[in-house]
Amino acid sequence: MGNVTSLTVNGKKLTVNVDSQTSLLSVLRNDLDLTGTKYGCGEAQCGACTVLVEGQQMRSCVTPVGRVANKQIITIEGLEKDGQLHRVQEAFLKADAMQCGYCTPGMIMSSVALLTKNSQPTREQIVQHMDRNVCRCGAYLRIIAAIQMASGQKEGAPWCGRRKST
Amino acid sequence: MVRPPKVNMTFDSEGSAVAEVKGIQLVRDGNFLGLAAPDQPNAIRVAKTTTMRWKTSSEPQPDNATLFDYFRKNAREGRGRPVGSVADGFAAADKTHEQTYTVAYIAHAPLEPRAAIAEFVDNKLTVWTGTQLANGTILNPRFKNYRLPRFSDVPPIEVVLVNRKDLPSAGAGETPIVGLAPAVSNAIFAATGKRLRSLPLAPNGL
Repeated sequence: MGNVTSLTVNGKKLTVNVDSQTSLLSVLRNDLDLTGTKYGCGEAQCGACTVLVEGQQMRSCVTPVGRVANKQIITIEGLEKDGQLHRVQEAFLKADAMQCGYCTPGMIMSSVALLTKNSQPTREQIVQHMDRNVCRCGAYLRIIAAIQMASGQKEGAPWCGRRKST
Repeated sequence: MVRPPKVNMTFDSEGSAVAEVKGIQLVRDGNFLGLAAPDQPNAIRVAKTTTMRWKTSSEPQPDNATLFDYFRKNAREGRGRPVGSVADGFAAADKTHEQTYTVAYIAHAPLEPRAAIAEFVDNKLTVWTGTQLANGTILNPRFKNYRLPRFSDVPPIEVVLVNRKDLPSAGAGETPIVGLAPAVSNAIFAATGKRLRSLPLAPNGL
């Protein structure tokens, strides 16, 4: 047991003082005020709480903070660099890949993890990888399109200009 | 909060590992049982080690075939619970206090009544708001058992916008509509410095 006294989040070493069994999600949100990472189900089933730890996607709601104390943690707030959104964030905006937006941070973090290990995923690979993230609004098709756009495989969303209106 | 495993069960008693953790408070009010702990790990630890005993209701539970009729009958006709009068309550009160509470707007059809109960006990006010509850039990407490469509469940869909020039303009779904009122409200704020926080946005609100 014991306490965790510092965390490296988004490239910065931050001071905390929390029980090592506390969930990473609650430390991010409650102690570090990084509220972009969302609480969804609390049992690693929906992916809203996804962050990157050493580049790997991880469900922060079931991750004891003690397990990641000496590791590089990236949250949705850490994707932007020098005022420029990450290409996956840009693609989500361009593809309008959200409705209520609650799942979006987790979707983006999972997408970044996918594209980091596979820069040109097929549609099937995207579906397989993203299947652990839930979107209750059902924006799945636009999210797939956004990932395809971010990987340079698609210029525009598939529903644009497909058919002329009658 | 500790909830019964089945609908209509009533709380009997709890064994106790509570005293072992400093700062733990067990709150029991009738069939409601809550745990207050200084941090999340201790709350989970005590909840797991505290043994709850529940009494099964003698009332038979509806099965899938009769569930719809059960809800319709009980929701519409109720179980004969007494219904009070808010106006009479305020009129008869020695002292009244008014406060507005808000919950986050849901951009979908709410899955539960947006209602609240305020309870005054010993000069303390507790406000209870709804979640997806039936008879005090959350209907879908775990995503493991509550199947939601995922990426692999959704087939390719082609959206076709049909321009019916013979009809007046119609709704285009939630996505464009949800942002409209805040956008106009922000524009009014930029122009006048005043915030309108209720709809419809009207000059008498300025």
